[in-house]
Amino acid sequence: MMDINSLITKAPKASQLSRRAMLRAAGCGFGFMGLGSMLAQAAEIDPLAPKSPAFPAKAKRVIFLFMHGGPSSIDTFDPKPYLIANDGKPLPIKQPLTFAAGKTGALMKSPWEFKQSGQCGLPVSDLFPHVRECIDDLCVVRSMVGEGVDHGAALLQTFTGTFTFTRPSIGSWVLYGLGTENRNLPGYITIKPALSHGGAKNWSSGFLPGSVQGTAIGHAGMQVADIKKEPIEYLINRGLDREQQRYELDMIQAINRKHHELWKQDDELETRIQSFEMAFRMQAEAQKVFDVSKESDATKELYGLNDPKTADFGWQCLLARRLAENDVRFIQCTHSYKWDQHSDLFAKHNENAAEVDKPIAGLLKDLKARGLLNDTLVIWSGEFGRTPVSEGGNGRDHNPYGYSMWMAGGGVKPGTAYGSTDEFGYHAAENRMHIHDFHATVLALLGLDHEKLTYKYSGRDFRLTDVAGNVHKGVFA
Amino acid sequence: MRSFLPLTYFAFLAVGAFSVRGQTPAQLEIFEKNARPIFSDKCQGCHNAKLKSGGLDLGSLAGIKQAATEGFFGNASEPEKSLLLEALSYTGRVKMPPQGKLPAETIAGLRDWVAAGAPSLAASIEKPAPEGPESATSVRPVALRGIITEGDKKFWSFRPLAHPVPPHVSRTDWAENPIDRFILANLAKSGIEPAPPAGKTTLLRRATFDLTGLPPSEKEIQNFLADNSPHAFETVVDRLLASPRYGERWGRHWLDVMRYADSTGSDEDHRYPHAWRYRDYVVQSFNDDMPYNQFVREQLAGDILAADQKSGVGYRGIVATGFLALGKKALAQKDLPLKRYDVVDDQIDVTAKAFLGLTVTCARCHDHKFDPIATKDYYSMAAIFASTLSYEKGETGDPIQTPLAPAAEYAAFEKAWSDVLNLDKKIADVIDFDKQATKDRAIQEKSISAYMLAAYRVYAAGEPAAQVAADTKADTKLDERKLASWVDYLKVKTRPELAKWHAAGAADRAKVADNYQQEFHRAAYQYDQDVSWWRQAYRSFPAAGKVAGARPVVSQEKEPFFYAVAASESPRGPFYQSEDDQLNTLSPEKAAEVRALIVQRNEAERLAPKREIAMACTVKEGPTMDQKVFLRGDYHNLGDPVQRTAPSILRVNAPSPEVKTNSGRLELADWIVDLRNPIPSRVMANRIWQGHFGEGIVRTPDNFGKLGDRPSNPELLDFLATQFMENGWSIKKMHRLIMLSKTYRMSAEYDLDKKTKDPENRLLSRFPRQRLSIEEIRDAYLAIGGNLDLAMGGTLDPGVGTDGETSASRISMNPESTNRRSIYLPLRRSNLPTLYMLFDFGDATSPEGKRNPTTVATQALFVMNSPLVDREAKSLADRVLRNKKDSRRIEEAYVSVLDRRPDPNEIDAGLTYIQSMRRKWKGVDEEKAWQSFCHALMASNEFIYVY
Repeated sequence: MMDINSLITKAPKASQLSRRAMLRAAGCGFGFMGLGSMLAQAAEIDPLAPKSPAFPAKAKRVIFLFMHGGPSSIDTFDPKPYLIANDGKPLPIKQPLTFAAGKTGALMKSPWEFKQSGQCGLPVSDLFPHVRECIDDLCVVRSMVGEGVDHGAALLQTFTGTFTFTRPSIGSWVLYGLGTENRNLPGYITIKPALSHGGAKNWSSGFLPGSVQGTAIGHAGMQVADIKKEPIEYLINRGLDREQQRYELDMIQAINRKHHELWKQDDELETRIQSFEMAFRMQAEAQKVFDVSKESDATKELYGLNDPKTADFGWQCLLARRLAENDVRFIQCTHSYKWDQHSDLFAKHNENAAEVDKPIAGLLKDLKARGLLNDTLVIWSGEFGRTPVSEGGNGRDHNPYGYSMWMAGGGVKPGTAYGSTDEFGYHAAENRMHIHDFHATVLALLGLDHEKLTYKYSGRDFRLTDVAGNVHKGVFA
Repeated sequence: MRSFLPLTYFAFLAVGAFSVRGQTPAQLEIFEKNARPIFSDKCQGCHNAKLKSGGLDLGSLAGIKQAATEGFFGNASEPEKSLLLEALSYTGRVKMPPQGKLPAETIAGLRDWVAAGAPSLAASIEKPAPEGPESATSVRPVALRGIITEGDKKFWSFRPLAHPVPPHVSRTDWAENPIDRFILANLAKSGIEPAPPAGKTTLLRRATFDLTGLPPSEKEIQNFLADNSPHAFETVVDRLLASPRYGERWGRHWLDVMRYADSTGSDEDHRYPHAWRYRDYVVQSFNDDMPYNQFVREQLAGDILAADQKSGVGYRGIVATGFLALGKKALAQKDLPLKRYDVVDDQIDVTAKAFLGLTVTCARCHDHKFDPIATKDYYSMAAIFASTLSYEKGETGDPIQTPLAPAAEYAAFEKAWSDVLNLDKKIADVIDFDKQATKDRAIQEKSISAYMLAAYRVYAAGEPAAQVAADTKADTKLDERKLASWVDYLKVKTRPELAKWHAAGAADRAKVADNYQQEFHRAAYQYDQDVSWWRQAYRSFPAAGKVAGARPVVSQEKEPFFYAVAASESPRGPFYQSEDDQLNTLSPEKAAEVRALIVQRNEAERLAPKREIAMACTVKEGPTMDQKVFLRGDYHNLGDPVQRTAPSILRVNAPSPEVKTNSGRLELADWIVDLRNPIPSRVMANRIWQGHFGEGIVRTPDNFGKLGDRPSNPELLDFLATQFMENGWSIKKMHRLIMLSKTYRMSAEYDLDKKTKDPENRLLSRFPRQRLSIEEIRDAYLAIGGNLDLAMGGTLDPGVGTDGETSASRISMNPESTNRRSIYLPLRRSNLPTLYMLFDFGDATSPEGKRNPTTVATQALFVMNSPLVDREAKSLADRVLRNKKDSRRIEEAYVSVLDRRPDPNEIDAGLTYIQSMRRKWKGVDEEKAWQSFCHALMASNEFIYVY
């Protein structure tokens, strides 16, 4: 191929690099350094370079399965015999601030039966028969506490720690803290995220560098078939084939190198030159990872890809596994926005659970079979739970005061229930895990100290947990 | 929500340059880290100076000190025996805090604190450390309780303006413009020569992007190159300042500071349907060169000014208060006082940052740790905004919208349309067509696969319909008439949406039918949701029938199956139900009643005024709030009453006027622009400087406090601030002054020497290279392709209210879908365009006086692959191809994209590229090769950076 570079400038690439290395070294006052140390230095100023965590990490990455709308804990993972005995009776405690004030009534027992399962014998309701089979891998936290009574506040607190300000999301903090080992894919990916209730603020990098921003794969309103056409915005070139595009990129870089000759002192120019090379590699790599078609039939069946009910979330879970295999640091799947059963709890929760139960169990089994569950932390949670009192006779209102989530893999104690709610299932009782605590604990599992993972902004140091957060070592294996 | 400083801050404090009698930094740290946050978070609710539960006050340092003297913290050698730890350990009679035992680590932390002798800051901060001139390391905490010291008054930004005289310089060519004398004197101190003048094309590109956000046209380049007069550049600057494009560029700078967006941001991200009027007001004000003092007054108190006929402000003033009205709002927040004061907090934040360069909102919970802003200062400002209404009913109701029309005209308009709405509601009371349709569909969708399979037996196997209907087991019984229409629908083999159905074999027919049922379910759910959200918008705004936009319709293109089955009237879909069909389910009397109402409603709609009344999102005066300090930001916990006024440190130079309006907003505005007040002119002069040089003289444009940057050239800043006021607060005169300086016209060149001596270019030893903003990048691409639409103002987003949870209209408009300038694209706070986020646009939620450009691979993906860039490259290629000679084509491409002519090497390289493109690949024609070449130029570093 014609070397455009030599036509447009006299300086070949290699000599440019070493000259740059010398200049950079001289500019920093360290004397002459070789290429190796120059690269090491570049890594220091690169926010995405992989970093070793503060203390030994139990998990290397996170898959967050988010149930948008607020699944009911007392109908899934936290059985309440009291409600069976007192069905239809008034709530004997003062009701805290609630969303649908004035519409809630008497205590309502769960319409589902709980069954014990596995060696640990923890009960799970009939909403999740497949997940129930994996109970020995789960650490169910029954004592989650948040402050958002409405969805917007609750989502923002779950993902950013606060609903008062725009702050970096947990995935951005994790990526900022750990960097990424695969530069051909974004380090933080959120699949079909919710557009409502904070929308992109739930995966934004806030004041952290833009490079740790979550990358959205479609959004909740899109169909998988449409997402597959271009999973990441601007990923696909429609005009040129790869070889032609490479040739065009050579031209861009030739123009850039000639321009760089004029502005030899400006390192930023080289950074932008490199960003194009990385983008070019990303185009090819990312498309391979997003293509699930070559997975075996058995795998597709495991995730429920063949059933239209489970196909959507199954695709999300399968993609999550592929991204995990490719060292994406933080992956989120969202089942949006279905779980908000102010009415019609029985029918709709049945429908929702049926869409996610098999894919989730499939993911857990698949990760385990591939040895990925050891260092992948899987989290299942909504933004809050639901009230033990009924709303309108057949629904439940929002309850952030005591709800359940579970974690699996990545250093958590398997087959355990941690914490509890009061006998009604309204308030967290033992081992209350506030969302700040949850964040501190997740960071700790990744080897990060939530008090030390800080970023200076607007004159002071900020962290995900603000001034709160306790690591709950009780969930550690 | 409380906001505490993080622990790392306390660690920093402990090593800071202040001294406290008898306490080591380590001891203080243990107090700040282990004890104070716990007291503050867990104990102060009851144990405060006011309630003094159990005789104990852990809310003030005096109280803590007293508790120590009373022995509450026991003996350092036996911490476990102290009353504190006994209560915390839950072992004794008293168990604290009552909500639940603290985590073991927290208790252990307090134990360590007791063991360290229970040290506290006490009220023993010694005389403040002398104020180091302007060193950033000399920050120290202010005395608690907001006492203002002499040191505070002398802090650089609080001092009166210095009226500095430009220094004498020896270089005569740099002696003319006072700015140059300040810059040169500073450079001379460091032994640096200024850079030589920039070349003409470079300077033109710089100035044109700077003032208009667009590249110069080929003709403008030619004219400038041909103009040999010494005033050639002056002519350019005047031309650019007079261009309407100027307001679009500099208005956008201001909108960043104003955290402008078109939606509420929190929870459902409701639209502000009239936000754009404020945006247009800003653009217009910049184009008109409205004096800055008037601009400030209108934005803070335009409604009050408008009420005064003599002011001549009129409706413009009402629109201007959009500044206060367009912040983040959590409409679903159920804690109503919090909901109100979160809005107040946003208004204080943006007012203080934008006009005063101060961060004051930390004083919502505690005295500012570094700047002399006490909680009472914060609540003095809160008193002003709490006496201003942002929601119709103070804490509830819609965000305020004000008609820009005489009251009587608006009343008639609203009355007519609420009559229509009321009739709608009356109809819905008898039969709610939409709800009924949703209900019907819920039943229908369970039977779709049954109907399809049954219909197959009829039309393909020829079984009798009646029998098939009778023996099919479905959730609902099959209706023979409906089955017949399913047969009619399904037997047509040419319908594209039924391709999969007709391709199905016996083995998978049931599964395919099930898929169709799922598809119907999904589409129906989405459609019903869209309708329900639309109805909510339709019913919830004044005269909303006019502005809620059109009722959603089922898209035949996107949802062909759902459309054919349930929405197509002709041919009639098997599950299609007309209004009449629905009415026929009612008793004849009820149906007649509804029919009569429909006639009435349509008549009312016919008579209602059709000309929409312009509205604006605004605030308005409310009852004067008897505001008290909220201790630790908690509105349950009331402290001393406060006056409606500005922060006390700023009243040192300019006493605030007596408050005569309800809220005090007008008085606040008048005080801000009081000529004796040194901060606002400094802040704005710095913003203008930053607009030209990328960085301000103070590099933290929104923070002139102690944690902010110190001015790199304080004399120059004061000179500019003084000039600004003396020139009648004219922003355009400031541009002229700055741009005609030698400093502005320097080249961006630098060598190793300059890089070493002035690494960050704080001294301005050369012109700073700047990256184009996303608006400039996008607008310039459109301009290069010749497709930029220069229409000004108005809205591209006619909707109101919110959209369905999963609706794509929740995302801000796709920047690829319009050719209007970027400033006119509506911004949905919760889902800003990916493109904007990629290029460091900011969050449009908090005031942001400066963007921080990053360089990441995903930006390169946009440049390489975006259809917009592709399209504009093609458009440019088509244009250059009109030239006959290849070399002339290359020249035109260079001039269009990079605003300069190519050198011979570059022409050769371009020709080679195009030839080899065509030689190597079949299918790459002349146009495609040129498009690729243009694309390469548009992707280059030289394009995206301005020198």
